[in-house]
Amino acid sequence: MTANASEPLELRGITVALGQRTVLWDVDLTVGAGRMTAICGPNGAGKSTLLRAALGLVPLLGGQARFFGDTFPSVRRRVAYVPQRESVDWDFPIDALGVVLMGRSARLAPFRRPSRADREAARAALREVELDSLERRPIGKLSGGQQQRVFLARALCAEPDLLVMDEPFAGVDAASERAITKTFESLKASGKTLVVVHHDLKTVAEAYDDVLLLDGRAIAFGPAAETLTPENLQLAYPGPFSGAARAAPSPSAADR
Amino acid sequence: MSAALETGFANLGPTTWTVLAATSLFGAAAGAVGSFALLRRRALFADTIGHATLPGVVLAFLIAAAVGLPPRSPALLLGGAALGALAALALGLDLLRRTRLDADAVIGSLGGAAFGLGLVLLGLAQSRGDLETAGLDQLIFGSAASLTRDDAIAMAALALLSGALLVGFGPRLTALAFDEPFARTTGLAPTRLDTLLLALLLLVTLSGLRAVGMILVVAMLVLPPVAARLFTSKLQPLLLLATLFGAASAAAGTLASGLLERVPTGPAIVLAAAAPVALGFLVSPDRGLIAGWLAERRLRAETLERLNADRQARALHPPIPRPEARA
Repeated sequence: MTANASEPLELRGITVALGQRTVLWDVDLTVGAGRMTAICGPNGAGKSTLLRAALGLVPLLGGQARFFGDTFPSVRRRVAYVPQRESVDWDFPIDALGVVLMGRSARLAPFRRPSRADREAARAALREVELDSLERRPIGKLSGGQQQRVFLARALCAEPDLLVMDEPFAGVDAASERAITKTFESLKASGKTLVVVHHDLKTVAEAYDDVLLLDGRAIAFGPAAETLTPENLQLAYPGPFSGAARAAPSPSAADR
Repeated sequence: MSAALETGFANLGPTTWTVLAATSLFGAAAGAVGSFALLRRRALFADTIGHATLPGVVLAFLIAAAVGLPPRSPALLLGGAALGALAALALGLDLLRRTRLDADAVIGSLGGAAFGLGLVLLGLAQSRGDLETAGLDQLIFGSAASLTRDDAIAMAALALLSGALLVGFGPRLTALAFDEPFARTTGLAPTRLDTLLLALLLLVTLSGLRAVGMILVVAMLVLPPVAARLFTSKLQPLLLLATLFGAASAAAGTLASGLLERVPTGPAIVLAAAAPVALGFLVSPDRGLIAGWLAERRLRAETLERLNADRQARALHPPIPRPEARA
């Protein structure tokens, strides 16, 4: 796959240092249009930081991120971010529909109220993740999986071309996992591009087109079958008996 | 008592009703603005703002007296209060940015230090026999009785202005308070919105200065939304309830202090605002003491019942008596 200026997401040499730690080291990633890309790696590999750095939420020490061949601020309407569920206070006094509407209302001009079309889009997004019956429920009373689906619906509501998601399957129940997977499939069918931080290696190969194996630096990137080789996995997840792999240069290894 | 109240009501002149309307508007604005401050975890900045108005007010008074301006004009004192609060806020935000101090440490030390400075300046001003300082200390605890019609109109205008700003920027403030990273990816500017929120806190504080006083004004920003939160988990009802609680308690406190001699306005208003909080702690359907106690009792009873049924089925042990029997 060759680099193309208008790919939905193109990362070049992303390098990030946070506090006392170099978290990402010269990471490249090219996400093709309509493809589903998983970002995998051990805890502390910098998976979430890579997404946050690309979206400008974390300062870059080096490298650049291009979205659809442009900088993120100029195409942000085509991109939706789904943060980790734990990143917000779910005791916040708001109902499910209220959260989903934020996908649209945040970009309204001051003094503008959400229109009927905005509300319809929010309801459609909740229907998509099979939560339409709970739209008036306070978010604190939803299960973890339902909260995750609300987050996904908030992103869908903005009708993006690229969805960037951080651990959407972390701690979700079986019903929510099914609903989210189904939503992914229909997004893919309609030509959307998905970048997903994913922790479950067992399900990656069948569900995603490409995989980025990350451990501070990019260990491997490409079609799942070529990336998830025993050698690469050994590099990313060195077991207790792999002293040799541990000694390989990895910016984060020293800190763990 | 009722005779005293009747003469009290008879004594309430047209100015009193204007004042009542103004304090109610202030209470409503405080409840609404306070809701957003609480959601964004900025409510205690109001404490710094309130305390830091005192050195501003006294300095404005002293400077005006020195250059021969009318030192007790409301506009001048409000301007001084605003400048004092802005100076403290700027210093506080700078400290937060440049040091590793926590927000609560910065807020606590700044508010106290500013208030100390204000009291020292006030003492100095009062020790000069030639200055008419009476009334300055009314700003500390508030006194609705001394409000003129013009004061009330200025107060109402400030409250209405903050309300209008909230109508415009409420949705953005909500999105930022709930999920800052997401809000930033949609293009919202956190620094600008946080500055707006602090400006709203300042507007409300200035609005309530004459009636409630600089110390207790923070309570009017915190109590109404806390009470509202105890009765609802949804945003619109929360904003509505907090606004309502704020307005009602301000009206009740103003009336009480107008009718009963020696009851200061600010404390009366704050006590009225504390009432729904106390009630909510008891009877809130989700978070109240009673609901929690009942749920725990039900769970224990159900667990014991299931356990005993299970033991009986397996004919193992004698049943455990219900806890009521032990008491």
